[in-house]
Amino acid sequence: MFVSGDGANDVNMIQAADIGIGISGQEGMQAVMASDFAISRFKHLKRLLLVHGHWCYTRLANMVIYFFYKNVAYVNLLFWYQFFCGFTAMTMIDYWLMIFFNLFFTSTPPILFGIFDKDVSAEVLQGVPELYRTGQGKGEYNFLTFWISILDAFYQSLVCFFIPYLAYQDSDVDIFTFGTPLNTVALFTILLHLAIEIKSWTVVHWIIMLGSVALYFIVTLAYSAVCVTCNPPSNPYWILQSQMADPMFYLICTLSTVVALLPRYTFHVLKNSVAPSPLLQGRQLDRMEPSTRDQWIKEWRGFRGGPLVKRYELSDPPSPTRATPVDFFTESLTDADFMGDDNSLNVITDNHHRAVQYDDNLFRKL
Amino acid sequence: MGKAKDKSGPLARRPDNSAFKQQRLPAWSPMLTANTVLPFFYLLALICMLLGVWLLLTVQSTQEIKLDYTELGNCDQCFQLRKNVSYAAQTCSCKVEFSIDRAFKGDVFFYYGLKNFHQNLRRYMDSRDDEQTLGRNNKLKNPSSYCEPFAKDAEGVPIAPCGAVANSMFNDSFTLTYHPSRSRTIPVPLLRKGLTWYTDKNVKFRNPKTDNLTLAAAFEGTRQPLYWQKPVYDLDPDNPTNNGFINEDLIIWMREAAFPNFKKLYGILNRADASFTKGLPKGNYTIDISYNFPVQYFQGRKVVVLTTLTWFGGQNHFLPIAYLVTSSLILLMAVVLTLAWWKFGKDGKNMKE
Repeated sequence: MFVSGDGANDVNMIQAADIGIGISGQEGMQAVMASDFAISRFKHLKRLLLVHGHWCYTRLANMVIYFFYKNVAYVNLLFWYQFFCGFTAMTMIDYWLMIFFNLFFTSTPPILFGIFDKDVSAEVLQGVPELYRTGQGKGEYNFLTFWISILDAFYQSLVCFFIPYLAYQDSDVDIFTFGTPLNTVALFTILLHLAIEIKSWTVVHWIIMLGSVALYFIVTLAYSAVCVTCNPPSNPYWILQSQMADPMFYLICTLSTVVALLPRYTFHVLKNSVAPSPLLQGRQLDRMEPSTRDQWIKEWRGFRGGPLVKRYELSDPPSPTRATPVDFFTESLTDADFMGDDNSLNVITDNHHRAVQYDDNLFRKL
Repeated sequence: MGKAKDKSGPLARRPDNSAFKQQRLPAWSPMLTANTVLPFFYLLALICMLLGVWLLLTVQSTQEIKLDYTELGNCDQCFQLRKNVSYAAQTCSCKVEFSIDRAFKGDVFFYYGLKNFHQNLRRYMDSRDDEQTLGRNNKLKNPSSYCEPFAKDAEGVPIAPCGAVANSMFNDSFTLTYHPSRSRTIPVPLLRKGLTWYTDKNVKFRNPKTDNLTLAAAFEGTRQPLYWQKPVYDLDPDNPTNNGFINEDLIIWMREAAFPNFKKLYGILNRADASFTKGLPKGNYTIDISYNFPVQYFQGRKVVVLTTLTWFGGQNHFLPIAYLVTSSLILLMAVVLTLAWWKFGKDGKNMKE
């Protein structure tokens, strides 16, 4: 539950709620000191909820699912090898490189994803408040999305292990030479999986992604050039160097990455083409000219349950015993709402009465 | 809303109004929809198909012969002999015959292979001392405790090289002979050097410093691993660059295989010989095997492999076929996406940009 308040009498309420917002101002700072977030004007609540609340939820949900996926995929890679080494817990990847994998090579991209990702722009989020519903109830982090992600992790680890295994079967490859393409494939698959999920690429994203790959190669090459006896039993001296001179390495890496990511990529593309989610439609609005965009928004919000927006996509909030503020918003359509720069929350009282007539006008206009 | 900040006053703690901190960095927002992605799918399918075809043609030109000689012909007698460990010192040799119907053109590689021998068990792999095989003098007579129980013999004399990996070294040897006609035999010369990685032979494995001593004297105070028939300084006494820890068979064995069914390089055809400049001619061949390595303890098999190699390996059809299968899958997806685009996205029903 979310509450906001500005006075000392609101402190108990703010502390009891799941999220409490304190508004600083005339009534003093007690509410602010007890709150999770503090703002200075009541009007900021709209942006806080619709824009930052939505972004925060999307980022957290996707980042957490991604972290679970990443670890399941990598550890399963080690698990499949156990079938071939008599379950003696031998790893085909040097353990320092394993530690660095999660610590340095694949840690910053998802953190950055969790900080910077903007799936829909602020203007559209404020202009189409229905999009807020995608974070409530059956949102982006639910039973289905989590377990599909884990299933995907199993599939990807199977591919990342067995394609190199079948390519090197019965040959004279040694353990750590076999483990090197596995580690590289895991890195590329995991980073490219994130690349499929990232919705807006800033220059920071590019630097971190390319930097992670570069860091992997630099650190592994440096470690392989130096460690002759430093880390028994692996001592991966010159292993990556000799692998990078072998065309088989590149062939295996390419094939494994493509096959591992093909289902997820195809599924996303198909879903976005055939049955795009409201969020994707919101993102498509971002690309339009402002005037066309406003027109589309009016049509979209006007045609309730029409062909463009399927109502079931916008899930209902968990237990609305009375109309939530979002419901009020949908009934009070004003031009100021569409422009997204509405500075007052008084639309609830002033425009509520105008709402019914406005709907009729809308139908007649279009 | 300028960048100038008051150091005092009501706006003193306001965050920077930079693009980075206010999340206004310019961003590229890719749309994963059919019409933006279709060219990529078709291109990928094409690349995979071309690679698959090229690899398939390359693999078709390799030739390979595999012989499981564990109990083949009169090697069966040796197999029965090796079942009894009290006859371990007794030599046993056997002959295996095969024929080639198409000449092996180019370099021919002779491998020995084992099935069901797990060189990748963790405790087995730990049981070695890489500093000893690096030639460090302090480690020669003082092997690492990881080598236990193969670090010292019953009298406490240290073992060089210590550990289970060195102890279980493969010790069958092979001689290949060509029979161009019933009466003539030509021995097939195999190069037994140049088989290892350059870095293994020259960096990871070094003999202990000899100064003016012989190699045998440098190993004074150690003894050979328990299962070996010769000490390490006698592995190839005619050839000082292949003796001691830098012996190529030892180095190749010490590089543990990834899977229980593996092969290791034994020799390369010496094409300097007049009869074999082009490779192995077709005809009948025999291999004389000095059969020492017992495999019945782990239900293993022993194999000999003769093969030609290409730029990407031996005769393994998996990779070309995998590329072709992937290319057809991608093509299928691309067709499905084209249909989806045609039906759903083409005339703007879904707010195309």
